[in-house]
This record gives sequence, structure tokens and C-alpha cells, in this order.
Amino acid sequence: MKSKIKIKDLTFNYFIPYEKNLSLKSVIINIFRTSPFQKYPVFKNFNLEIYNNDRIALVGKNGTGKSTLTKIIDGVYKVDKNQLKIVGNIYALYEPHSMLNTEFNALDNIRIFYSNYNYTIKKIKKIEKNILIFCDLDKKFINLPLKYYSSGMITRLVVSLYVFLKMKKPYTLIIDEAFAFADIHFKNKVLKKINEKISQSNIFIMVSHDFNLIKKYCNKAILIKDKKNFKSGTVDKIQKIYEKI
Amino acid sequence: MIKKINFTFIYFFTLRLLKSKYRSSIFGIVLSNIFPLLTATILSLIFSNIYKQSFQNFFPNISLAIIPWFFFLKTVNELSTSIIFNSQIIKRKIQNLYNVSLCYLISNLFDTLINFIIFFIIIFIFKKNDFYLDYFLIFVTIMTFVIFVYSIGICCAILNVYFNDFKHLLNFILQALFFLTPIIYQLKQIGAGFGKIIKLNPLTQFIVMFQKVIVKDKIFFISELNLIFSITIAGLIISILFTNFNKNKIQFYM
Repeated sequence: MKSKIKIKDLTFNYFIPYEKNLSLKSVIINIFRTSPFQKYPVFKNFNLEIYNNDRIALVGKNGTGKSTLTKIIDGVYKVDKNQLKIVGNIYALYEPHSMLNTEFNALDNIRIFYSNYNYTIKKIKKIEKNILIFCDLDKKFINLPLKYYSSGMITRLVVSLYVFLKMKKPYTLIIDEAFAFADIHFKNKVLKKINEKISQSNIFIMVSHDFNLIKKYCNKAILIKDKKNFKSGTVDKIQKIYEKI
Repeated sequence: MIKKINFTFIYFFTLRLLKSKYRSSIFGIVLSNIFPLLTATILSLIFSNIYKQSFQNFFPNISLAIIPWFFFLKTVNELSTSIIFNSQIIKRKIQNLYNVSLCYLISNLFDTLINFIIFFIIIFIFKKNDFYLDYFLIFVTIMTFVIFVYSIGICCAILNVYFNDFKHLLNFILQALFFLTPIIYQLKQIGAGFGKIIKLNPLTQFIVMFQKVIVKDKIFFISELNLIFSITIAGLIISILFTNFNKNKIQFYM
């Protein structure tokens, strides 16, 4: 089985309110305005094809839509079926803080996370202790909401969740700047496991600004210039163009 | 919508909500379960004195209005903030919008069912009522009411994502609804003119239905049953359309 991602004439807009805080009051005051929201175009007629065995790095300036693109591929943002065709499963690891509920403790987050991947209650209860041991959290923190955790601790928890996640083949793995806060000890511990997931993936997409990391994992790079244009090529070629921007 | 329901998610999330509500203490469980009946007792004592009628007539009437009212109030309030409080979970997977909101509904329904059970025990002990088959119809009323409350709650949750001052408006509407619903008075006690306005409130039909099962020991009229079914179906259709239209947009405002 092979994976494939085809993006054809993708047009995607963010809807942002005219005012900083949208309120009923402002809607009443501006009653003649057709919509309280304005369109912010992220992609316009954007085309991209990613094939089986591609290891791709998405690079570009902040705000060009790299993370939005990964979220569109992951299905977080819904687009028209004709604009996006995907073969295989998608697993995405984003910036850790956006993955979990900071009001919940580690155990609740583990349970909620795996139930999203259709794990049964029995299966989750079987692995939850192993995850807590693997992410090596201080016992004092286990029952506390995540809002009391450091960024590094949250990263350890999120990455551990993916280490224990059984990914169904064929699959595309997306990693979007997920290791930023992890310490060296944990990185060494986890990278071996994550490397396995990456090598088994049919397509690997990485969002990063770190070209040393990109060179280690990717054989192609895509530089997203703006909502319509991108350049693709070898990592070295794209690095040269990116540094000139 | 049924396809989008994730039972494992609902199990863990509801368990978490119940745990945080009761905070693992006996006092928390007792307080949340006797509070509506305690309120009903106090109101019955006050109003039975004001209207110079027996406490025994007031208590069942007020309890059967207060228990559904508290369910409505708590569920709509909690549902209205459910999307904002769980934005990370819903943003990642928009289908969780249904799962999360169902969990809030179930956790409040759990309390309400316990309230009803305590109420029935009290009624059977003190009034020594015979058991009528009609009493089973209360389950039909509860289930219909639950769907109605969910429909309102999920619409409020979406509006609360868009508008940061919606919560204040909702509090005002809920306060007004309390007085526009026959909870601390009965429909027959008010004039025909104002009664018509009260009857327009959908909650009135549900409260009257709850009271009819027990207090009057009278079988449901099909027309009344049809009315609450129609209200519920209309509410459900509106909420499904509203949710489907907005579910992909609210991600940008969370």
C-alpha cells in the first residue's frame, strides 16, 4: 500500500473579526456591515503533490502558511474534497501546547488523546502507566493540571504519546516543530523511537527552521513563498534560496 | 451525528467531569444531589404559608418544576462554555464538538436522575401513593427534555465562541426564563392574558408535563405529548442546521 497527497487549486481563507474582540454590541452597532468577519487569504489556487517515500521539509517565513498547510492535510481545517486527495492515514505531531488540554492532568490527557485514535477503554488503561513511566514526569506533577507543567514537561508528554501510538500503514507522519522544548536527555531517549516511526512512514513531512535537522530526515524541501507560490528542490538548493530571502 | 460519537472519549471525559464536580468528596456528591430538592422544600414551606395551602400539595409541584429547571440551567450554562474551555480538544478534531457537549449533558443528567430517584422515594414514603404505570411516562418526558436542552445548549456554545459578551445576555435570558416558567407558581394562578405569554415559553410545556405525571395521577393527553415532541424536533433540527453551518468556522475563533 502506498500513500499520496494531492492538493489541487487549494483556496483557503481564515475568517478574522474586524474588531479585536467580537461582541454582540459591535454587531449591533455595525448592523449594516454584511459580515462581522473579514477574509484573510492563506492559499489561493495552490497546487502540490506529495508521493510515496517522499521525506519533505516545509520551510518559509513565519505566517506563510506552513502549519496551516499541515493542518489542512491532517483534516483539522476542512476544505473541499476536490481540493485535497489523500491516500493513507495521517498522524500529526504539532507544537506541544496546542495538542493537550492544560486544565486536565497527564492521565486525563493520555486517555482523551488515545480515545481520539479509536483505542478501547481496556487498551488505554493497559498503556497509560507505561506512558507515564516513559515520559519520566515527577510524581508530584502527575495529578496536577498541565497548566502547572513546564514547556519541557509538556513536550515530553506529547512526544511520549506518539511513541506509544500504533500508526496504521500506509501513513503520513507530520512533525511541526514539536521538539523545540525537549532537553537533550529526553531527545536522545525519544529520537530512536521516533526515527522508527519516521522510517516506517510512507510520507514524512517536517516543518522546521533548523536545516541541520531537516538534512538529517528529509530528501526534499518546499519553500512556501506566499499564498500562491512555492519552490521545491533538494534541501541544499532550498536552503540557499531561503537564506537569500 | 451518531457516526461521530466516540464512546471511549465520552466515557473518559464524563468520568473526568463527574470527578471534578464531586472533587472526590462525599460532601460534593450530597450537595449537588440534594440542592434542588432542598430548594424545593424551602420554596414549598414559604409558598404553602403564603397561599395557606398544604405543604403536601406544594412540594411535589415545585420539585417537579425545580429539578428539570436546575437541569436546564446547569446544562445550558456549562454547555455554553464547553467549546471555549475545551478548545484544544475540539480544534484538533472538530467531531469532538459533539462528544464534548454530550459529556456535559450526561454528567448533568446523572445528577438529575439521582434527584428524581430521591424525589420518588420521598413521595412514596410520605404520600403513600400507589404505583401507576403512567409514571413510566416520566422517562419519555425526561428523554424529550434532554434532547431539547441539548439543542439549546449547543447553539449557546457556538454563539459564545463568536461573541465574548454572549454569556451576559444568556444570564439575563435564563433569569427571565425562570420567572416566565411556572416553577414557583402554577398556570391556573395567573390571568389568561399573561398565561398566553407563559404558554409560548417551550419550557412551560415540559414543566406542566412533568407535574402531570405524578401530581394529577392523570394519563398524558396525546395532544400534549405531541406538543413537546414537536418542540423538541423543531429545536433539534434548528440546532443541527446551526451546528453544521458553523462547525468549520468556529475553529478560527477559539
